Amino acid sequence: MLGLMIKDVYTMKKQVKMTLVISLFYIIFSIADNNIGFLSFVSMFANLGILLSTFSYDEKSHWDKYARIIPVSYQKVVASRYAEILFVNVFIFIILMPISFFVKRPEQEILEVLSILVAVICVGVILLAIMFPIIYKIGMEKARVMLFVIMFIPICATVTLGKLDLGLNMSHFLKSPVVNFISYHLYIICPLIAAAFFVLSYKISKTIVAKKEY
Amino acid sequence: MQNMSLGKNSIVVDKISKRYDGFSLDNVSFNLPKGCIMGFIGENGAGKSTTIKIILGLVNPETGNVSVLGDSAQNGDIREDIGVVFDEGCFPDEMNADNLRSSFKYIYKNWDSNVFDDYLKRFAIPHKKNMKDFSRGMKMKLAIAVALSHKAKLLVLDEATSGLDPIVREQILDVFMEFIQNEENSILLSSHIVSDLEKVCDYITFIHEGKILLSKEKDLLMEEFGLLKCSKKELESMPKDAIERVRENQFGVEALVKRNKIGRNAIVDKATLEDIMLFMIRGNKVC
Repeated sequence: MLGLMIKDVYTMKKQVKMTLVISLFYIIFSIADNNIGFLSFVSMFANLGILLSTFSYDEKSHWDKYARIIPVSYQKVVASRYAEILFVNVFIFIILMPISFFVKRPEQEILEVLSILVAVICVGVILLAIMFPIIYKIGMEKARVMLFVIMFIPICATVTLGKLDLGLNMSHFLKSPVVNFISYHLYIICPLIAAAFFVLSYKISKTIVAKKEY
Repeated sequence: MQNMSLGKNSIVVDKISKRYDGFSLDNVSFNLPKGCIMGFIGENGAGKSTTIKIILGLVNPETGNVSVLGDSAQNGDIREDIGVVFDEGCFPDEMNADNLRSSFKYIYKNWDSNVFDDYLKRFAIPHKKNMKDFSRGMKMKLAIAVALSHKAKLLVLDEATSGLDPIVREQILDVFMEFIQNEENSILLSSHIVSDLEKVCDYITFIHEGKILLSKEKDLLMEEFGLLKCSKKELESMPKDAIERVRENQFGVEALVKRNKIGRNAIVDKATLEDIMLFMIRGNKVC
């Protein structure tokens, strides 16, 4: 498994450099504007730019086929990719946490900043957890289309709901005790949801790869 | 499948079948004895790659069994002993030879970086150059270097020499001959460049439209068949069971014949492997 991850590190080196440059750009923006919202782009670029590109390189070189004839079980081949999600996101958290606290506005509480950061990272993990089984099933090229669909569905749904006059009293809804509880415990709730997606996704991916023929 | 055949054979393929839309492998059987090189020949689309994928466990057969080094190729311990080279190369373009060394030393228990470096030197493969800048010949040589650097006992090569210039092909064939000096080692080499196989192979297995037409020792095969060039009338006077396939041309007919049945009066030329393959595919049977 270690050998596979080392191979991915070498494969991703170009993407890592590019992501670092783009991240630096957004971190500077974030500091200049005192807005931690820009840091969410860092998480997205790292997750999508680095981790999904490994699938592209593997598909292009037919490494997937080769990976099934080396003495590493298919479970470990899949596990190595999921371990990379964890490593990348722990790294993102370690880098972005001090920057977030530095960038935060005086009126923002530390817990609020932590919740935003954790939520942003968990969204990235959930997105990858949805994408990985799709990539294993249909391949990276076709899965790109799915990525756009997955990303745009929530945006389109939000915009559409906003335009529809459903007679909802949003301010009343946002002040409800349930929403209040959730917003104060996002730093716990988000990782739990992401973990559930992550585990389920790993199991589905394993099943897909076990049945896959090359 | 008998235990005896498992012991002396590196690969035992026993009546495997697989159906796809427009193509099927039908009851494919052959054995690769230890210490031998087997050439697996057939035209494009004959079923060579599918058979190799089934042998390696990349595709599941609908019927039949495959044994590789006495077990299934899906067994991790067995995979330690198999070196595989596909025609695509299979290593990401962004990597170089040193990167591969760093990765594979954690993948194969028996990985030997010194052996790998020796092959890089011998094949003149640069350590730091990315694979995207490699020629096809260099990619193939690198894949062969990887396959030979973990003390494999069986090499499986799917069209590894296709598209390479004669010098590179000869260099690779020399390496195969060295590998086979160890009697426990064996090679399954699929190719449609039959002249290469004629040079190095001990056994030939010929697949056509998903069926094995023949699988036997190369020397026996070359002894068994010959080329007869004569007129149509002369051919009619020959024993029918001696004539395997016939092709007509403007000067008369050419026939692939069995030497031991044709009789001493006929002048039979040597048939190359390519002749045998072409006659088997494109020649007509005599009714």
